[in-house]
This record gives sequence, C-alpha cells and structure tokens, in this order.
Amino acid sequence: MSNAVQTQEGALILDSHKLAYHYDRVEQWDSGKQIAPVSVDMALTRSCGAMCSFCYAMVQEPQERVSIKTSDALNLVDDFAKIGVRGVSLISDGESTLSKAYVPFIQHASSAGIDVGNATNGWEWEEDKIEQVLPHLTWVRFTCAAGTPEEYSRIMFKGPEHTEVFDRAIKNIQYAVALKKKKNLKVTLGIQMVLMPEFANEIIPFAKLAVDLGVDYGVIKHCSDDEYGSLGVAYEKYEDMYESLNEAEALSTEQTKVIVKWDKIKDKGKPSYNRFYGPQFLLQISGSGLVAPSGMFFNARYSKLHMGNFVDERFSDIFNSKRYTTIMNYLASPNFDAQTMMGTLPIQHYVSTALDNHKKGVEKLVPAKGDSPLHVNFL
Amino acid sequence: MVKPDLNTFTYTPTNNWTLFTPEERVEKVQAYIDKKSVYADIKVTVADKNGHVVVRIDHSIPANERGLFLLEMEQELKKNIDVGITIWLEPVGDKSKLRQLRGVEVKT
Repeated sequence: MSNAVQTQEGALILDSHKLAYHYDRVEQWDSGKQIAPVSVDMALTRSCGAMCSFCYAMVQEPQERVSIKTSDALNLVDDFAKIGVRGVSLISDGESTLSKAYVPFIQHASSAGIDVGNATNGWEWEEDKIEQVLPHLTWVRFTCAAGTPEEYSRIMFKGPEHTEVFDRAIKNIQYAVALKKKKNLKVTLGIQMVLMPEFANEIIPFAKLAVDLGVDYGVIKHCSDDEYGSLGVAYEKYEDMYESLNEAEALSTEQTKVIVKWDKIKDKGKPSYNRFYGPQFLLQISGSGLVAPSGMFFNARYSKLHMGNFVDERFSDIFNSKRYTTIMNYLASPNFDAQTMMGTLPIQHYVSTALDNHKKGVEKLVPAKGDSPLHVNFL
Repeated sequence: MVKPDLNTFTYTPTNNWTLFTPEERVEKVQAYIDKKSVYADIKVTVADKNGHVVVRIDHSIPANERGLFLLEMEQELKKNIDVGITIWLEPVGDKSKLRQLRGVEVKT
C-alpha cells in the first residue's frame, strides 16, 4: 500500500490515492465508458467566517452564488446514491458547518450508505452539532494554520490579538476527541496545516499541538495557487523547510501521527501530467451549487468547463447530460493542458498522476489485495 | 508522419498566430465573432501569443448552457482562425468581504 501510515485504527493514506480499491471503475474508464465518480468533494455554502491567507476560495468565485436549500442537498444525496458515488467530502470552497443543510445532509448520506468526511475550522461546530454528526462521519479534519494562538489568529482571522477563534476551535476539537473516545466512534480526527513558506516557524508548534490534542493525525500540506500565481505561493522555498518537516514527522506518537504530504510538496506546483483524468473519479461541486469537474474551474474564468448547477436541476440530469461527457472528454484531450491551463496541485492530483501513468504505461494500475485502508471511499 | 502522443501532445498556436501583434490578434478574433449573431455581446479583451483568448460577455448565460456554448465557440475559432486558441472569460474576484481584507486580486 503506497505511502500508508499505520495508525491505531488502520492504514491511513493521505499522501497517495486509493484507485486500486476501486478497480471496477478503473476498468470501466479504461474501456472508454462514462463512470460515476467514486468520490465527490463539495461544500454546502460558499460562506465562511474565516479569512485564511492561504484560502484557494479567494480565486474560485463563480458568476452566481445560489443558496443551497436543505431539500436541494437531500436530493443531491439521493442522486449520488442512485449514480454510485461512494464517498462525499465536505471541503471545497466554503464552510459547510454554517449551512442549515449541514446536519441533515450528513445524516441522510450516512443512511444512504455513502461515507462522509468533513474539513472545517471548527469555529461553529459546537457540542450539539458535534453530537448529531460525529457518529455519521468517517473523518473530520480541522484546518489549523498554526500551532500558536497568535499565529493561528493572524493567518486565519483578523490579527494576532483575536485568539478567541483559536480558543473556540481547540475547545470544539477537544470535545470531539473526548466524544469519540467515550462512544468508541470509528471516526478519524485530524488537524491540517496548509503550509506556505512564511509559516515555517509554525511547523513544529503545529505538530506539538496535534500530539497535545490527541487527534489521530496532524497533516501538513502544500498550498495551491492558480496558474497566474494570484496567492503568491513561492514553491521554490519549500525545500528550505524539509528539515523542519522531517523533525515534525519525528514527533509522531502511537496515538497521533504527524504526516507530511511529501509527494505534493516535492512537485513544486508542476504536475507530470498534461491530460486531466482525475475529475472523472473525483468530482467537485462548489458551495454555490455549481458543478464543475474540479475546484480549479469554479471561477467564472473557466466558464467553458461549467456543467450546471444542482440547485437549478437534478444532479442526475447533469451527470447524464451531453455537457458532462463533453467537458470530461475535453480535459482528457489535446485541447487541454493541465500544466498551463489550471492552478497547481488540485484535489485530484494523486489520482490524475496515477491515471496518467497508467495510460502512458509508466505504471499500470492493478486491483488491490488485502484489507482496505481507512477512508477507502475518499480517493 | 509520426502520430503525436495524445497523452502529452497539446495543440499550440501556429507561427502565423504568434507573428501577429496582440492588437491584430484581438481584431482578428473579434472580427470573426462579430460576423455571428449568436455571439452578440461578446468582446475580446486579450489574445495572447500562447493562444489564450479572454472574452467578456455582457449578459449572463445559465450554468447549464455556458459550458457547451463556449466550447463550441472555441472549436469554431480553432477551425477558422488558429488551432491553438483556447477561450477563457474574465475572472470574477472574491465576493467575501472578510477575505477581501487580505487584498488578494485574481490575476489575469
């Protein structure tokens, strides 16, 4: 199992993909058939109370912001189940915990047999909400930009004096950790640092915070940027942080693993692939309701890759439309170049690299053997 | 003739396209668009040497129509002007008032 980290609950793959466990879909795709995405990453709103300086949502504004009603969200779950989506992550371009649809969406997806994961800042994720959703979630990952209250508040909110947001997040994470233990829940809890070179001093405090909180993991990942460098991520400076990153990983304990997404960090923002096959397996939906192959294409700039809005029409109709196949085929054709026509390191990066290597014959995908890793339905 | 490797080959602009000035490229694309009533209200704002053509559309196109509409327009421009053309719209900036305080602008 590539890049798997052994935790107390099983093998955790954060720095690779899980396509081998969905070989049925790989075979279908390889034979030229349209496939249902294994995973969908989405948000229930584009709103967010934070103002993270690394936030990719700053470059993802589509033409319209449509409000997603609870009924729309529940219909979406039904369509996912009908089509064959296996896992849904609430990450994408908004803070889904703010949506009225948040609790019903998770509970409905869980009862429909779809795994659900959620990335959140945890600020509005209080005891009552935690109790309603935690038993239904496969994983929760808290965005935690730094290990010290002042830096956390500077990076994620209005300034270092606003440490109330750090305190609130920590209180809610601690409650979730305790509830998981008390009820013996299967959910995996982690914190995530989106690393920009200017946050280098926070790498070790972040790792220590993960261990102190007793979460299952603390993960450190690169920061994405659009192809024009709007966020100003200096990829050439990541190498200077390798020593601190190794030091952070060494702080791992039996309970808490500190994991660095080395594969993405070492890519320095330049993918090996030109064709973009990943969205066929891992689709993204904006908190505005917009369905586009990838979050890289939510901005109005990429309108030619917009497939529809699930608030205006059923997702199943979008999935079965000519638009869906035409746009997916376009990304897999010589009309599109992932190296020059989209931002860096999308959520589909690992999957796209593996599918591209498969097509090129560099490394053929084969069916998985043995036990499934944790979170198998999140590619 | 050796067939290109479709896993890596991407259409790029011809020499003809690259030899035009930026203004000539904009004029050429705009002139083609202006001939078609279906493309009324579309203004070409940038036409780069690398084939990237940025357009502004003054009316809104529903989410379920805009993708195919623009891909079809791109195919027409590829066929009639240059095979390396690729169409983009002008970007929209972040509407979050809170995040706007960061001062990040979507570059073009």
